[in-house]
Amino acid sequence: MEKPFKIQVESLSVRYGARIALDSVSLDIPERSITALIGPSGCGKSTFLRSINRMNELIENCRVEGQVRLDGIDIYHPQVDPIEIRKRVGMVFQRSTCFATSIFENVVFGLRLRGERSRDVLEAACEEALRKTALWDEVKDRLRAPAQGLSGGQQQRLCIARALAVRPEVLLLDEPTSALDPIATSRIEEVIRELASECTIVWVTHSMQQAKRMSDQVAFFHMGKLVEAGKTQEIFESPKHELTLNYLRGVFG
Amino acid sequence: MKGLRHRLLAALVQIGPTGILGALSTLLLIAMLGGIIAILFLQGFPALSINFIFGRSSLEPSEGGIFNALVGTALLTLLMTAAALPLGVATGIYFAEYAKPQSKLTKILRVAIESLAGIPSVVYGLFGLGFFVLFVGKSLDALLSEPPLVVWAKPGILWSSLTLAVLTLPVVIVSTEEAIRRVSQELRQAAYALGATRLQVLLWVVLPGARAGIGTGAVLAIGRAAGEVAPILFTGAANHVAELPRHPTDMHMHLAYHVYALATQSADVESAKKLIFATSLVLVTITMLLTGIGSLLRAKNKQPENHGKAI
Ligand SMILES: Nc1ncnc2c1ncn2[C@@H]1O[C@H](COP(=O)(O)OP(=O)(O)O)[C@@H](O)[C@H]1O
Ligand SMILES: [Mg+2]
Repeated sequence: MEKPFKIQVESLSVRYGARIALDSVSLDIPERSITALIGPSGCGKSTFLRSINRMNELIENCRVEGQVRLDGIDIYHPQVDPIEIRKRVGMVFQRSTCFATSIFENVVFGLRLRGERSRDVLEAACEEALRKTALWDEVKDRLRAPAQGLSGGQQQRLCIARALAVRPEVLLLDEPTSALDPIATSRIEEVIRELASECTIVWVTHSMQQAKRMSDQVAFFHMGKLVEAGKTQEIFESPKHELTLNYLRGVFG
Repeated sequence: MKGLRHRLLAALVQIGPTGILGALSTLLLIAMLGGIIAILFLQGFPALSINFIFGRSSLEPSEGGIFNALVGTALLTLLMTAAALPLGVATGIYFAEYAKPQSKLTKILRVAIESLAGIPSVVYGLFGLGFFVLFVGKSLDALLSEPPLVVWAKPGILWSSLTLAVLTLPVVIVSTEEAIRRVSQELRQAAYALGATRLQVLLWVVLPGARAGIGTGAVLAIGRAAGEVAPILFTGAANHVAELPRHPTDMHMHLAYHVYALATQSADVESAKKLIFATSLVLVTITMLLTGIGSLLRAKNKQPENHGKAI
């Protein structure tokens, strides 16, 4: 049976001032799956991600048109609070963004924002999130140590743990492994594969191998337009569109 | 031997004339600083004693100790900090986070603050006299007593510390704003993405990240203000005050002003001379300590942050 759609994007257009970054994009994203977004730099992948958690609103002169539905509800409806959306839709960025506090405080940041005070709850959530990101055994003896002492790969997993600690329904990943070495990358891939069983993942990646290995669905963007989207295997084996074919060839060859 | 000379020459050529000039002027500066400190130390240190430091002031400047001036300087600096820091930090936060850069008001305020930083300190003294003592003080007197008594409309430690605070304000504002701007956009984005409100981002991410920078700027500004005489000349400092200040309207003594009094008001020129150096030594030690702490903080601050370092 097909999984229901967690996110439905319909004729989404985004512009920064006069510059059109996304032009009438429609894409359905099934629940508990991994969707890979691929395409050349500047084609609008990050803009697309930021439309799903309303982060675009923080950019001055950014205008969003069209609909993004989360569980069937339009997140841009005037009565929807963007803060609430961001609490349900987590995000991890290209560069790790650990706060200048301890490992523990980094993980529970989101819970503290929600007013969680209980030590037990915080500690349990911290352990759970760190276990899910395979960090627990590496850091359990130094939870009070500064997060900035961790390696790049560990910091990035810490950022994922921080996003997971609040149990998001959707996780947006904006090239989380592009600054990491192959070993750190494969650890993160393992972590994300596990996560797909509990949340919906939208993953921007520059690595075609990664998209091919990891995703259930691929969406190819080009100059602000969604060229084509479909099952990963179909896109890689028999792309319908000339542009997609050329891009895949160019990247592979 | 020849090789060494050759290499030295080659090095000089490589550095170039500007480099050589720069190196020379740096050496000159260090030599001058060293000279000043050496003279202060040689001449002033022998005159330092418990009696000198903890002795009460006397009408004849060359007799008695500097305790009143020491306490006056400390109180003045504390009051000044209490006034300048909250206001300066709040204004810095406003500029960095809330002010619209294109708005007219922001531009005017910015120009005002920048010019404020370039005004000679004696002008602050005149401003303090005109605004705090004569305007605010007189208004207070008219409000508080009938018929008006002169309570607030005369120099006192409140007015001198507020005048100094005005002098310090631009530095605190600018350093706060810079420290806040240095907190990376990516960190803020990360906090927003976790569902933080704007205020939470400010309080939980931006201010903790900027704390060190704000502290550094504040300490440097306070260190500078602690040695200023001109702003307090007409607003609260006096040659000789027998009592330590107990009320905001009391006048007070000050180390830098005491040096001036020793040099100009003393009957016994010879013994005053030693005390001038000793008093200056104490003052310079205090301001250098403050500046040193500030510079250390700044150096620590400047170390590359490894936010999001790769691998
Ligand atoms: N904050 C911004 N202000 C103005 N233009 C932007 C901004 N962010 C992105 N853009 C523009 O929007 C387009 C899409 O950018 P982006 O979504 O970052 O692409 P990608 O992530 O695929 O590289 C680019 O042309 C980029 O220059
Ligand atoms: Mg991008």
